[in-house]
Amino acid sequence: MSDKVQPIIELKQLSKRYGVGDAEYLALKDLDLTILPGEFVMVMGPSGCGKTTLLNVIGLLDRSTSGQYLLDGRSVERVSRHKQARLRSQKIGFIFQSFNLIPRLTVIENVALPLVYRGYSKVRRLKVASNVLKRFHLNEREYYMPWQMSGGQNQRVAIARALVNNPSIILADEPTGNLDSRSSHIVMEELKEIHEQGNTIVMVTHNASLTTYATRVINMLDGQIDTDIKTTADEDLPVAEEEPKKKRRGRPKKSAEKRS
Amino acid sequence: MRMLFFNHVSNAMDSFRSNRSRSILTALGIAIGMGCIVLILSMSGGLKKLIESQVTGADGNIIVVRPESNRGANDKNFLSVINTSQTYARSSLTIDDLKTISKIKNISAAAPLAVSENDLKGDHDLTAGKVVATNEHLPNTARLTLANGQFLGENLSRNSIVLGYTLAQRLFDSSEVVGETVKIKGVSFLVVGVLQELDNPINYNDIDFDEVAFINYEKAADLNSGLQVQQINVKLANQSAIPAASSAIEKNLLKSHKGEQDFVVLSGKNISSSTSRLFDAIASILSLVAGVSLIVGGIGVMNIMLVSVSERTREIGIEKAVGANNGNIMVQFLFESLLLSLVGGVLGLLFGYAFAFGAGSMMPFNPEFSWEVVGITLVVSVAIGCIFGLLPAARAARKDPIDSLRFYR
Repeated sequence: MSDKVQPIIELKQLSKRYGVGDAEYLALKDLDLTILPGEFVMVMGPSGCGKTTLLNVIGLLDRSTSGQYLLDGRSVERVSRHKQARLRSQKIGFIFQSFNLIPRLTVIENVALPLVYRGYSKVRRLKVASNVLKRFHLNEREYYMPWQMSGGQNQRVAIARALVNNPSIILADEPTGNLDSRSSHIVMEELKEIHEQGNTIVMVTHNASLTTYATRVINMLDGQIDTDIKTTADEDLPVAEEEPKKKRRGRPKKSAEKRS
Repeated sequence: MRMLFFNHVSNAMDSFRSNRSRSILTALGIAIGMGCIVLILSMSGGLKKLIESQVTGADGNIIVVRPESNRGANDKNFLSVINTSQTYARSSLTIDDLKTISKIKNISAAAPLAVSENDLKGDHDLTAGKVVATNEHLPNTARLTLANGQFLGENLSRNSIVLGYTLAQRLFDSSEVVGETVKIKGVSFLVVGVLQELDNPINYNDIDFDEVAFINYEKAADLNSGLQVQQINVKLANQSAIPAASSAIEKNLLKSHKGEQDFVVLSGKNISSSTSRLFDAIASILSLVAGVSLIVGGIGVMNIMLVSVSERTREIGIEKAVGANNGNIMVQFLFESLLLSLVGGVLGLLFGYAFAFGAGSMMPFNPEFSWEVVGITLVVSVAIGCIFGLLPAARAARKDPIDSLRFYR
């Protein structure tokens, strides 16, 4: 194991500008951020501070205006749309506030959807999707339609979908925003579980009580990182030795070992 | 890639099913235009086949010689068929040509056709009835059969006349008229035979044989000073002799016409080709009109695809977020429009042929079923699906994933 862990995400001096001229406004301002494998990062901050923009840029749905973005060590800020789509398909799993399941597809078809763009055959797709759903104890609802299930169940299906192609990183945009506290709890337990299995999660939330699940909490303000705190919520993760970078304080040794 | 293809197909079928009435109505728009084209093509095909069968059917060993001006209108201008034999101010064929032709070997019979208009007097009078001046070989070269009596013959009096079936009805209210007398220009002719009613509405002689009387050429030439030969029908001993006999006729006539090519020698399908060309032209004009309705149908497809794309904006966003690229989305929507127009095309084929064969049962000819038409229909529907699906599909593919995910309806 090398001493220096390869970060999954490295943002350097990243800016995102919307509008031109007088209407110009920076959603992200020279933002630096490094996320290591196995971290569970929560991004908080007031509305309009650029949380979702950050998530979209990380998720390659949007492009930064300037700055550098390394995903798994490769510079991706200027790749073609086609390549962006492939990277999304291979490395990124999305979880949305409003679940974003396709209403005309069954649960299992929704979960299998990302595999379509990986070129899997239908049988193989459904097999893989079924296995993932089993992990979420939803295997009895494989052929339910999304509208036949509760919000919490829908979100768990969406999490299953995000996991189905083994992404390097899972991006969650207020996954509990549309759920009651009980469902929120269940969903957060699921996220905690997949994090414990070694997945890297970046989650945007407004709910401060959820930060107990995170290994690192970032507060954003006006497109910049205000505070970046390593929490001790996850006792399994030992506190990493001091890194040269000031803003990155956590280093999950366990999963780093797994990956290197 | 193959898996994606199957996925696109099943996706398109899903979406067709989930918007069933809307999809079927859109496909119907294509089906109507397609049905019209299929109907027109099958009808004109049947008609052409009928014309061809008149000359190439049981006895394809017929050669027809017609006068023809030097401009070669028969090759280029389909309107030349509207010039019936009577239109020529002066036919270039003469009764001497008949004699020239008769001498050529392998020719079993040759008959002139010279039409004049005369008043016919029987029990009833008929003004400007058509009288065909010919010889005893005509039934052989034009497939005529007699209902009663016999045809003109060398052993019969020159004052014999044979009546077409309908003409006999007109003059005598009966077809049992052998032995009656018909007067032309004061000369009495004895009816020696009546033709059987014909069921071929179109024939290569440009004459409705049901409506004419036949008399001897020599006699007719006496009665009508300006009588002209409009056509010479030649029957050969066998079909294989056609090419040789054609060129022999051509050569000998050219010699007797002093080198002037003022006639045409036609055999086989060529005899009807000018008529076929006319039908082809009419069919293509009608198809063009029906093609306009296809464009309307195509616009319907485009319209419904645009609706579908905007309805599914969010779905497009989700698909892009989980890894679909622009091409995937584009092809997905193209497949949908393809399915719509293909269903329309197949429905159109069914409608068109059902209507054609239904109507054909009430007509003197059967519409023609050809795989060519099926092929054309399917290719055209695929083309329509592609062309009119392109804009909506491109619009879907270009959608921004973030905006699409934010889209609520």
